[in-house]
Amino acid sequence: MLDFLINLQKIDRRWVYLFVFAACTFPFAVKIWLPLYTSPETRGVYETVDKCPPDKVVLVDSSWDAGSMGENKGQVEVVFDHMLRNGTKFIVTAQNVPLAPQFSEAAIEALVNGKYKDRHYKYGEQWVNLGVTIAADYIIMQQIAQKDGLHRQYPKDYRGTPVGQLPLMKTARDLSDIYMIHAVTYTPSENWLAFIHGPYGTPITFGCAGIQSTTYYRYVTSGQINGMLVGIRGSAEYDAMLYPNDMKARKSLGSRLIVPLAFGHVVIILAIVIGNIGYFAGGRRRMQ
Amino acid sequence: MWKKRLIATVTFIAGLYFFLEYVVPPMVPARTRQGVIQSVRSAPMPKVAKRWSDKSGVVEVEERTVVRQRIDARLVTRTVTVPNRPGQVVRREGEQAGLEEVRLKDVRAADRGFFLSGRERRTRGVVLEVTRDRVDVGVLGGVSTIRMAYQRIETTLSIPIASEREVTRTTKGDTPERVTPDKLKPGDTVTFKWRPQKGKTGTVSKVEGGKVLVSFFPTVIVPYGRLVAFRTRSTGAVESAAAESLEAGELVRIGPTTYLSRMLASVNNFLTVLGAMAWGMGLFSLWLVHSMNIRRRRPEWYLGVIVFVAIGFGAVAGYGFGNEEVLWARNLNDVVFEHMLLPMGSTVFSLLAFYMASAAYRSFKAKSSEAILMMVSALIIMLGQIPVGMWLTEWLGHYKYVDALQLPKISQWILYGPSSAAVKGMWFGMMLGAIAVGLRFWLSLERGAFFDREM
Amino acid sequence: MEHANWQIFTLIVAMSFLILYKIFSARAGKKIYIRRIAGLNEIDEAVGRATEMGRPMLFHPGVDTITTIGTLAALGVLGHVARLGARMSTRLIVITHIPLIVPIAEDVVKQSYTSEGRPEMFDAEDIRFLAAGSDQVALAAANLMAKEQTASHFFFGEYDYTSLLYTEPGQHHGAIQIAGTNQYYQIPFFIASCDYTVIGEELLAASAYLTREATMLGSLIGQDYGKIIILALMLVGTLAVTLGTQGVRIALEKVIGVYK
Repeated sequence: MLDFLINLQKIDRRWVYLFVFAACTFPFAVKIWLPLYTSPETRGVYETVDKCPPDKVVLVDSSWDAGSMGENKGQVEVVFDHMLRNGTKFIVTAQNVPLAPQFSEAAIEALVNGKYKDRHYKYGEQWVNLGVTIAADYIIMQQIAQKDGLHRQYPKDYRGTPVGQLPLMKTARDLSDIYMIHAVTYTPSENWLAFIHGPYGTPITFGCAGIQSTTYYRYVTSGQINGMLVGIRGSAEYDAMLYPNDMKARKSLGSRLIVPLAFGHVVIILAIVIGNIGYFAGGRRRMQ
Repeated sequence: MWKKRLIATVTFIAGLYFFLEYVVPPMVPARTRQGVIQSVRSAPMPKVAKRWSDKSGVVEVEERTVVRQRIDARLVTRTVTVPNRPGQVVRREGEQAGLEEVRLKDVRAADRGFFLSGRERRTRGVVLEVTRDRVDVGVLGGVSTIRMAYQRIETTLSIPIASEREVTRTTKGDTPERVTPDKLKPGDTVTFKWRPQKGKTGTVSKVEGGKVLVSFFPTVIVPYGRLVAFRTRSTGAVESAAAESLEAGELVRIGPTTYLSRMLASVNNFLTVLGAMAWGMGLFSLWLVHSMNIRRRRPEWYLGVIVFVAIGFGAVAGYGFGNEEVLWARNLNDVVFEHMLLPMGSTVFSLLAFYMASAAYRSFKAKSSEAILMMVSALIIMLGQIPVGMWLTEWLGHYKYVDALQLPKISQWILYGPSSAAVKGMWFGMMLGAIAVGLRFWLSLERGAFFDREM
Repeated sequence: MEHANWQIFTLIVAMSFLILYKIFSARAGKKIYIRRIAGLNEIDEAVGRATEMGRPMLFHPGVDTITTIGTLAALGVLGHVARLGARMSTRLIVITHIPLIVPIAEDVVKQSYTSEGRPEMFDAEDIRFLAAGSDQVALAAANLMAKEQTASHFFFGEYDYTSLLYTEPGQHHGAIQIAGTNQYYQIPFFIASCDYTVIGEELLAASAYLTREATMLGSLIGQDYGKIIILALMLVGTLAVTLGTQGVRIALEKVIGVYK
């Protein structure tokens, strides 16, 4: 028996990979629902987006592509869902990630042509995608804060249309017309706080990868950011707040991935526990 | 030796620029004037026109106008600090004519009016800064005149309708298309592919007299050596204000520029160019290694051939990036980047999940008290981040004093408390270390392979 | 944002003065003590192991460009590792995905070899630009480890999510691995997969620790004194805001309020 326990710390890593693979793929075959706890940082984002007044717009800086789609896509999907439900107008931008606009555009169009088809939302009136800018982020932020800064920084939108021709952009000209900024990328830039929140007080929320979140919790506790969506969990929690009683309506990528993520974590935790059982058994053998 | 001195000199000058740009204000402090604008009068000087034409009848006219502005402003003569006491009422100029009474805590920066403050009761002031404990009020004196100038450049292009030269029309909602001038109508947005207007975008303003008139977005230039203006917004933030956008009622600071901030974008562009030049070095290194492998027929030399074929293929595919006109190149770009490179990148990223599992299994052993602490907190946070943690401890929520022991709540406490504190401490040390390293490099005090001796 | 004001100016000048003062007093002969950093001490052992086994070493200076502090610190460590390798006649392979790092790393390694009297050891092919992306270089590095049978791996600099992609294959390969980064959220991965880890500020102190040069040690002490001063200011400010009257808070805001 002791030998068996000692061998538990020498399991071939390929068995570990196999169990992780099986745990992550099993929930796709069998639908499992688990209760979610809504964290304060996710609630902060929800409440900030909910309070947007009708004469202001929300700026979503969606700077991610396929590399971090697993974590970031859900974070924009749930916020777009919320804004479209409330009728809040929004502008989408991207910084230094050339393929980002098409990913966010696909997410918006899936909602506009799907769930909100009967509301007949029109591009240019309900939302505008201003495309990507390749420049140092603080320069973009400073430009947006200037008078008519959005028009100067983005003379054309993602589709090549001059922004002056878009109805939404006639009233959304610079930072004073923006109610809040939701910055979603693998590692959101802290320059949003230094160049936008600090001087102008604009509420900022982040959507970041899970591993990066420890960097930003200090901003949540100090109140510099109103909230944060942390990886897959953040978008799943937000979805749960949008549809508290209807689990089947939660269609964001975060809601679909949270259970496989949970199972994967469980496998890792079990691997750690098993490894430690083997380690203690080995210690016991050494004492003998 | 002279090479090292040259590098050290260039490093010092570059570092000095960034150091001065950070500590020197954008305007000369002693000659900066702050006040509230009463009126702005602009006097455009006669236009200076530059004309260009070609054999096909296309005519471009560029008109430069120097606009002299006369800004009358009440300048701030001194600053008074008013403690922000609860319930204190003051009067300020309202949105309609006249004064309105407001509580001091509702006052915003750039508000104007009379302020109740003992001896300053009848003094006209402007709010400079509002904080929780105080309001800084600038006492306004008499009207002074400040003269500023800028140059406005307006360009129009006249194209004969019968011209065969195509332009790219991008009108709202449509895909870009190449059209001849006879198909253009007022309001169309056009982009040019032929020199010297190549890359410029304009709007068709008129079609008359056998010509299509296209106007370009006006450009404004503030010549070096002139005054620059900064505007204070109601949030208290200070932003750069273009001369032609100044309006009556704004709280501004005007003074001679110190040039440093205006050069920042150009200096950053230089760094970008320097980085781009280095790409050639990387490709050279790649060529060196793989060509040697091929020439000497080392094991797996054919992989070097594949590298070169892939580089050429990628370069050709890159031609299609954003290229709406050459369809095959665009399709090739889509195939290579979206259907090959991106999925491969995602695949590599997904390796992390497996590597993390094997690394955690191998290394998280309770070998010491610190290791036990790390392991236990890692387990709590991992369980708290996933619904399983809630599923396991949901029952604790029914009891009054132990609901805080639910795994998600403990996880949240660890992240908000000890973890944040540790992160702040680490960042603090690292940033100070970064200042020291930067200082050593700037002053050429670094030792090692780069700098053997001082300047 | 108005960052150019007298408070920032005073703080920067004070910090710089402190660091420079300590540098020059160290140069004047004052004895300096710094504590032991295990990860950096073991570099010698790792180089020795590669020498005994007759296999090359692998060095990766991080995933960020030359303008970042972590990469500059990593290149300082590279110089030390190259010098040790030259002394023990052990081959060093440097890999990167940043083109700008290639000529700089070549210069560092060449100078190190020359300073040990072994310029003939330098081979430009051993400084490799493997691919354009850090994840692609990680895969190429795993292949390189198997092909070249590297015995010691050094991962110093700035790292992102690809950190584990570099170190885990090396762990399975059986090489001794030493890593150091100032990206603290990658440190757990390095601790899990490397034999020794240099954490955060220790990387920035690496050049000083390894060379024991007076200038470097002096700057290390100077920045520590700067930390003490800022901690003292934080303590005074916290007490003043907590216990002080409105007048004290207003005065404090005027002095340091711009640091928000």
